[in-house]
Amino acid sequence: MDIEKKSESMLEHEILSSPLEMEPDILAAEQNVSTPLRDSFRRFTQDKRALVSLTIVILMVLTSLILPPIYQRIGPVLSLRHGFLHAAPSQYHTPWFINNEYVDKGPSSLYWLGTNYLGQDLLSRVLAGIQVSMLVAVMVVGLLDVGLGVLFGVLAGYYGGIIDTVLARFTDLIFAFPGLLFAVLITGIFGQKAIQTAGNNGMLILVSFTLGLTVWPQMARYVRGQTLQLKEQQFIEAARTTGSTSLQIIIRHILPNIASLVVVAATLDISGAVINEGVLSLLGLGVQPPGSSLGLMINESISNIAQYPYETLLPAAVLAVLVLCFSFIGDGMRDAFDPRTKD
Amino acid sequence: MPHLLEVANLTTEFHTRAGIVKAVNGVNLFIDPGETLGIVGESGSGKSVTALSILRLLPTPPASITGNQILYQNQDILKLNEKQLRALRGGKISMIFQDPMTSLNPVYTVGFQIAESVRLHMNLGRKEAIDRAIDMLDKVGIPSAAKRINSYPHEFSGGMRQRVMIAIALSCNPELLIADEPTTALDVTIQAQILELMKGLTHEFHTAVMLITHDMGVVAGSTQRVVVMYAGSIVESATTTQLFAMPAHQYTKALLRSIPRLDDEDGKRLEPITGQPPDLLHLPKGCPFAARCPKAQQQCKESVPALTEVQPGQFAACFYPF
Amino acid sequence: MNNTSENLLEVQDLKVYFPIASGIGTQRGAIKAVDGVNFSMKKGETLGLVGESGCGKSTTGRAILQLLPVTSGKIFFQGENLNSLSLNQIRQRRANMQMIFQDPFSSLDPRYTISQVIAEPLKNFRFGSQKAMQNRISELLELVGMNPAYANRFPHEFSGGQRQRIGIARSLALNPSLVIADEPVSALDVSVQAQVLNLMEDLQKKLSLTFLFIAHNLSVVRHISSRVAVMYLGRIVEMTDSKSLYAMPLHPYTEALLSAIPIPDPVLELKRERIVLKGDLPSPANPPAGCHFHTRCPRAAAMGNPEICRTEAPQLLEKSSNHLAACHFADYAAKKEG
Repeated sequence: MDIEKKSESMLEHEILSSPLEMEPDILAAEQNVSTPLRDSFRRFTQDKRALVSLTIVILMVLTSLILPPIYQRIGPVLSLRHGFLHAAPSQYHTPWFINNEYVDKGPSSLYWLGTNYLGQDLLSRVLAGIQVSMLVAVMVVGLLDVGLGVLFGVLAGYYGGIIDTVLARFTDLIFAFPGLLFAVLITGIFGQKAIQTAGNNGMLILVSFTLGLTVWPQMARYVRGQTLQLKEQQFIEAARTTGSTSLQIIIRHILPNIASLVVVAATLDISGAVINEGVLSLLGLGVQPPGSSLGLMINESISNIAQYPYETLLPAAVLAVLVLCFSFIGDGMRDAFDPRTKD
Repeated sequence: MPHLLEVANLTTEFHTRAGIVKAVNGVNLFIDPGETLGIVGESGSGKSVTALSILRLLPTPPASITGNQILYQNQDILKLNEKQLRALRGGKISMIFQDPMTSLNPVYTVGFQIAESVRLHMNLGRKEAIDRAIDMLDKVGIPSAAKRINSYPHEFSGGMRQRVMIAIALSCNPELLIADEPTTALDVTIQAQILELMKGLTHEFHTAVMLITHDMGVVAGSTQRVVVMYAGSIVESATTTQLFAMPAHQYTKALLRSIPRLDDEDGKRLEPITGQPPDLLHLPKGCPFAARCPKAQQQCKESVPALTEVQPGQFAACFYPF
Repeated sequence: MNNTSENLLEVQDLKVYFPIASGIGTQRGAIKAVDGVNFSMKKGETLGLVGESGCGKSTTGRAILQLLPVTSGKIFFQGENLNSLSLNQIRQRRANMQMIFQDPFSSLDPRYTISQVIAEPLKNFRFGSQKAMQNRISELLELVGMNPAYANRFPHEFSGGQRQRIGIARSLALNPSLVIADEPVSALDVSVQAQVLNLMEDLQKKLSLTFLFIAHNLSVVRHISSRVAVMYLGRIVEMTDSKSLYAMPLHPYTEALLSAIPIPDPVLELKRERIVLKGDLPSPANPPAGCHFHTRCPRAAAMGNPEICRTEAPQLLEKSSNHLAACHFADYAAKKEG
C-alpha cells in the first residue's frame, strides 16, 4: 500500500515534466513482432528433413490408431477347417489371431501385408507394434526422462551441494554400467512377475521403467549444465533483487529457458527408447506373444529369415523409419532452438 | 615519401540471411612509416572490420571484400595468394587483439609461441629464435625473462599476457602494427603501462601503428593522426591536435561533447547524442549521421557528403562542417 | 555513537571472504574480496565506488543487497542491521533496495517481454490489479524515456542503451530508496553512455534516489557522484567529495589512478605527468602485509620504503575536513602541493 501511495506522487511528477529524451520511433517501422519462440518455429519449418520426418511420424501414429477398426471390417467371413468354423475380419484382422491355413503368405487382398509363420496378420501386428513403441517412448521419455531429469537437473544445478554430489555419483554409476545390460537384468529377473500380475501391460510398464531409469541421468546432466549457465546470467540475480523466491526463479526463469534443450534432448532420447524396446523384445524380454511389438516381430521371424526375409524386413524397416524420423526431428529442433544458427 | 599502406575505396560486406550488412563502406586511408594512426569509432562503426579486411583475415563468405586496392609498399594485398599473405601477416604486418586471454594458445609456452613466429618469418635457427624470444620478453618488461619463457599463458596476468602479445607482434620487426583495442580489456593503471610500452617500443623500432580504439582519451595521448569512423564510413580524418582543437564533423563534435572528462567542471551536464547508430542492414540514403545530427538539413538526408578537405590536413564528410 | 538514524545506509567493518576449496572439502584459504570496509550514505546522495577489477567494489554492492554471504560486519539499512534478518525478512526489504546491472544483454530474460520484465517486481510485492500494473509499467517506461507502446516487445529488439533503460525501469518499479548501480554504463557505447548517465541524474533528482554507483571509470564516477570512495584490494583507501578527490588526492593509489586516465585532449595529454604503476595487482587471496598498496607504491619508494608501510595496515582516517585516506604518509601529498 505504501508503494501505491508513492507512485501517485510520482505520477504528479510525471505530469509536471515531460519524459526524458524520448527514443525515436526506430522500431515503429517493423511489422512482424518476432519472439524467440516464433523465430525457432520459423527455423524449424524451414528444415525440410525435420518437417518430412515429423509428417511421417504423425502419419504412422494416426494410421496405427485409425486403421485397425476400419481394417477389421474389411474382408470376407472365412470358413476354416480347424478351430473356428467361421472367422470374421474382426477376428482374423487382429494381431493375435492364428490362422493355420494362411501361414507365411505374402501381401494379398485378404491379408494386406501378409501373414507370419503362425498365420497372424502382419499389418495388424505392425500397427500394434507402432503403438507399443510410441507408448514406451511416451512413458520412458515423457515421464521418467523429462520428469526425473529436469527435476534433479534443476535442483542440482541451482542448489548444488549434496544433491549435486549425489547426482554426479549416480550418473557416473549409470555411465559405467551399460544401460541395456541393466535393462536386460531387470526385465530378466522381474519379467515373469510382471506378466503374472498385469500381463503384457505389466511387461510394458516394467520395460519402460527400466529403460527410463537408464536415460534420465543423462538428461539431468544436460539440465544441470544449462541451469549452472543460466544461474550466472544477471537476470537471475535481478529476479532475486526484485524479491523473487528461489521457487519463483526456477519456475519463471530457469524452466522456460531450459525448455528448448529438454525438448531437443527428449526427442533424441525417443529414438533411443524405441530402439531399446525393440532390442529387449528381440531378446524375448519385452512384450510376450501373442502380444505384438516391432522387436518381437523381428524375434519371431528371424529364424526363417533365409526363407521369408520379408517378414523380418517389414518390422525392421518400420522400426528404422521411426528411429530415423525422431533423430531428424531432434536435429531439426536443436538447430531451430540454437541461437547460433540464426543467420 | 610513399605511404607505407594505402587503402583505396575499401568496402566489406557480410551476406546474411537478413540481407547485406555493409560493415565498411568505401574507406580510404593511408599510413606513413613510423607514424601512429588512430581509428576511433563506436561498436559497429567498422573500425575492426577495416583492420581485419586489410589483412584479409575475414572468412569469405560470409564476408566479401571489394575495393580498388590495398597497397602495401606497391604490393596489392587484395591480389596476394595464401602463401604470400601468410608471409605478410606476422612478418611485415602484425596484429594485437583486444582479448589477451584468448589470443595466446594455452597449450604452448610463451617462449615457444614467440620463437615459432620468429623462426617462421626471420629464418632463424632454434637457438637464435629462443634468444630472440628472451630478448623480446625482456623488452616488453617481463621480469626474469629467461625463466618466464618456459611459462604457460595461464601463469600470466591479463596485463602480462598483453605484454607477451606485444612481444610476439614486434618480434619480427614488423613495419606496421595493427592494434585492435589493445587495452580495452585491461584496468586503467595497466592500460597506462601498456600504452607507454607500445609508444616506447614502436618509437624504438620505427614501427607504424594503426591503433583501433573507442576511447578518445587513448587517441589523444598516443596518436599523431586520427580517422573517425561512423556506420562503416570515415567521417573525419585529421591530425590529432586538429581533431581535438577544432572537430569538423558534427559527429566528432557531438561525441567529444558527450564524453564525461576527468577535467570537467563540477555539475556540468553531459550533452548526449540522441538516438542510436543506424542499422547497417538498412543504411539511410544520405549522411549516416543525419538522423542524430543537430545541424542536419534536407540535403544531408538526400545525399552522402564526400570526404573533403575543410582546412589543410583536415578532412570531413559533412556538408556543414564546424 | 553511530548516527544510523540520519544515514540511509551504514556499512561497518564489512568482510566478504570466498573460501578456496582444495579438492576434498578442506579449505585452503580465502580470497579476501572485501576486507573491512566502512562507509555510510545519506539519503539522496550518490556515492561513487571506484577501483580496478578485483578490488571488491562489486562484491561490496552485492553484499549490501545480501546477494552473497557476508563473512562479518554490519550493514544498517534504514537503521536496521540486514545481517541479522532472516531470508524472508530480507526479501521484504528488497522493495527498498534495488540494483542496476552491468550487462544490458544478460540482465533481461530473453523470453520475457519488456512488460513482463518490469512486472516481475510488481507481482512479487502484490502491486494491485492487472490494470494498475499495466498503468505502472507504462508510467515507468515513460519515466526512463521509452515509448510505452514497446511494452510487448522482446529485449532482443532493443539496443544496449534501450535495454539499460528497461533495466532501470525495473529497478525503479517498487520505488526503492537505495539503488546500487553496478557498472551501469561500462557495456555501452560512448555516445550512449551520456544518455544513460543523464537519465540517472534526472531520475535521482525527480525521485530523490540514493545511488551507490560502482564503476571502474573515474571520469564517469566523478561526473555523477557527490562523494567518491576508492577501493584497492578489498579496502577503501580514500573517500571524500568528488571535487577534493580530483583536486587533491591524498592516497598515492588515487593519484596513480587519476593520472592513468586518458583525457581526450592531446595538448593536455602531452603536458600531463603520468605516474605509471609498476607491476600487477597482487592476488586478493594473499594480499601484501601492512598497507596492501606498498608493493606498487611510488610514494613509499620515493621515501625509501619505510618499515611501517610493510608492517602496519593504515587506518582510514580523516586527514582534512571530510577527506579520509588510509595512508601513513597522507600529509606527504599535501606538503608537496603546498
